[in-house]
Amino acid sequence: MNVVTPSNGAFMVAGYVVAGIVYLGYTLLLLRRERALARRWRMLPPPAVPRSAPPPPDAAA
Amino acid sequence: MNPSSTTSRPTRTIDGLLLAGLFAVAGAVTRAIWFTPVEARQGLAQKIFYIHVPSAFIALYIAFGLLAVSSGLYLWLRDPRLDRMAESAAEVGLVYMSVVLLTGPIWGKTVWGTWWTWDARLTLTLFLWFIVLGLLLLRQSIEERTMRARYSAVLGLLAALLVPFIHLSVYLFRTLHPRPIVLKPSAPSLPGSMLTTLLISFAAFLLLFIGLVRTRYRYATSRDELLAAEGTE
Repeated sequence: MNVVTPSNGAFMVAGYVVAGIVYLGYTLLLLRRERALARRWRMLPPPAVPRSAPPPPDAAA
Repeated sequence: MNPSSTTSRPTRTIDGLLLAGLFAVAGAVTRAIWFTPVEARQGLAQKIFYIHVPSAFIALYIAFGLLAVSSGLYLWLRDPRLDRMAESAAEVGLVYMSVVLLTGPIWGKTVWGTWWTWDARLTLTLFLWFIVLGLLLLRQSIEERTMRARYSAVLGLLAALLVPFIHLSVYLFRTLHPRPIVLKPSAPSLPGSMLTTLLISFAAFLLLFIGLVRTRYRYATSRDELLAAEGTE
């Protein structure tokens, strides 16, 4: 039996392009969100350094 | 010790597994397009199979399986790390499911002659996509952390309940969608070279999935720590 292979390469290309856009687009979106978060971290004030407590009065004596 | 050194501040480096996953997918696509024989009856459009099937398998069984397990464990243990894992699995799973729902009609048009048909497999898959989208939107709308985690864990479990029905839909109903040719009790009905490409493609998309979930989880951890540091949560 002769089988005529259909010429539908455009559909294959469309499928791969659509999948590529979704996967790469989401990856880039994720990396952009991480960068935006990093900017917010940098805007935080530096953590306060706890001062050492003064010695109890009897220890100074 | 400086408290900031224990937080998960985002770094500039891209996750190694994510990068490896992207390269692996590029390699798998190259093999599928140029080094795998063309199917005689369906022509080149059949090569969509090598992205459609692995994406569907990973979304349905791995991503939404992880969503169900994390959600169930969260309801039991109330550990915020499980909530972050469920959130990450749901989002990445939705991306994979989107690829399935976009590539399926393109392939279907060439084989069935129609972009879409409301048969059981396709309709249930679309329902699941909407439920997971709803889960992510629900998370955006609830500010209180524990309530958000609890509600989304319940919805995550309910969403995952659809997966067995989607799997069995091709056996229970008359559908245009073909039955599995690899995941079945008997041997896969696929020539060796095509099966090899499918397995390579599956491994590549799985690696990409792990990289994406790791990156998304790292982002969620860092975001929660930032909110705690800002005193807004």
